[in-house]
Amino acid sequence: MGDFFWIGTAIGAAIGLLNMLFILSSRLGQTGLNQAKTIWQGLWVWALWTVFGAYVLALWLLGVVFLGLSRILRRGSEA
Amino acid sequence: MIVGEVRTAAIIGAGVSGLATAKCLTRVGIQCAVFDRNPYLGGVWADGYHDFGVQVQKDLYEFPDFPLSEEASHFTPGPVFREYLEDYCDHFGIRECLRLGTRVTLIERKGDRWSLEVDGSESSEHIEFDLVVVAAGLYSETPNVPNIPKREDFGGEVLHASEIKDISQLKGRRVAVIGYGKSATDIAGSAVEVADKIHLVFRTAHWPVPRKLLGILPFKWGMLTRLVAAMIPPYVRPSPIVRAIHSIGYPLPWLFWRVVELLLSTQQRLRTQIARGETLMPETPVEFDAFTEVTMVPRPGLIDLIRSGKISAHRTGVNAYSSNGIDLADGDSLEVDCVVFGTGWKIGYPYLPKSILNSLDDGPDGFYLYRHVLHPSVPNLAFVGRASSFMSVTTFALQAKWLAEVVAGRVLLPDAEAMRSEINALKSWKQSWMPEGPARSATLLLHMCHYHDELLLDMSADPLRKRGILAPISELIVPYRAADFRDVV
Repeated sequence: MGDFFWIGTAIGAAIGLLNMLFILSSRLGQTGLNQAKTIWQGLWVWALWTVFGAYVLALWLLGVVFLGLSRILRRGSEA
Repeated sequence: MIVGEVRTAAIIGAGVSGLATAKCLTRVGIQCAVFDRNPYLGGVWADGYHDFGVQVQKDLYEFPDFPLSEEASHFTPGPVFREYLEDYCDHFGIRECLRLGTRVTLIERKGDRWSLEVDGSESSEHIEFDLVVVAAGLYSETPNVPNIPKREDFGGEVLHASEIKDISQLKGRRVAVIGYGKSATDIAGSAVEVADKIHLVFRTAHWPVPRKLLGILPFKWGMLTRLVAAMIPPYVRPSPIVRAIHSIGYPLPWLFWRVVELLLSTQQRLRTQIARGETLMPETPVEFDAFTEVTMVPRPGLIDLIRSGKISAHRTGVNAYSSNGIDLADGDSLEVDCVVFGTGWKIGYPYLPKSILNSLDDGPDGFYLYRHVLHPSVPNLAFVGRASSFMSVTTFALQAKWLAEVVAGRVLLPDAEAMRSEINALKSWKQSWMPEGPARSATLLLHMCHYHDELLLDMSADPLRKRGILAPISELIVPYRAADFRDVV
């Protein structure tokens, strides 16, 4: 459980970092956009991904299982 | 696109989008004339069927810079909204632009200007303008009544929902309401109190969105946030993170929507048995069904009326009229003396000549426009209000502001080729996944926040509208309200 949590957090932190970099690169320097707001938004996005990374991973795994099952069942009913 | 100097503008339609356009254009020094065939303003809110009203909460459906009064109910009744439009008109001093009771019958390009043929109550005239803004919405004034065989055999009355001004028209009658959208379900729900028997006949079931999810949370919290916007089929040019969510991360949005379906079907009891053992369960997944023309936010109690049998629901088509009712495609026959079509309106702009429609590349989806407002092939013709959104008033107000900024030269358009390429990208994207329909070109709905972002960025305004220290969290999970756009429009 502890390992899963840390793996999820690490994955979340990595995705969050990429998401933050995307926000910064797409907004910084654009006319009319507040730079401080952009940086604040980026940091929050990173923090949220990191904090919820394990939960997102758990939901993704649940989705993999149910999506897989539903495809198998659908294939079965079509056959 | 906009060419030459614009000093005068004709606005067709005195509804929400027409009034917003008049306000914005007059503010950049354009002399406007707002034409409407009705002798009163309001557009679709000028006059409606019995008990018509707004189907979303009032903080979603009001002008960003002119809020509805505190006393107005959460779901604004139609007549109250019409009064609100009158107040808007006076507040922004645009009443002198109105030319009510005048119908535009033809628009023609004359040199660098547009010539409008206008029919008034006593005479018709031709007037020239630099810019024409079509602000008459998406639908025409022609009711969409399907052509069902053997009409001449039927001795009863056939009405369109818009003709039911007072529900007592259906008193003591056996009524079949055809359709499953807002007007059909509203009429069926109201008619229960007065009619002898009510049938609701529809071919396709849609996911009904309750006013409150689980009876607690207003639906906007579950449907209209940026977090949910990341779960819907990605917008035409998605961010890398959204692309990832819908590729390797796809099980996540898939699971999200299945949970939404489970909640909706449980809360709305969609497994309720109706005629011939059918149920109310839709076949299309909710994340795609949400982009069809029928947006279902049914009046509270509708499903209970169906469950209790007070409304007899039939999930099938209508084959033909008979002498005493209608014959359904599933083999049943309904004995009725009145058939009401809640099937909406036909799409079209009768005053636009074929040559212009051809230039707009009008097709089965309707025509696609740059930012849903302009087309590079038809200069100085703009459309405001030709987009379906859950926050129509805000969307149209932003479009009007964007157009005014373009006309004033503060928003620079790309060249014609770049606009065409943008339009083609939008068209291919929609046609790749969105359910077919004559309004597909104008469908935004759950994508509205992405569209608002585009307009705001063009106007050098920040698409992130929430304020305060917790704004980044609010951006994610708190739905936008009209008021969030107050300082833009």
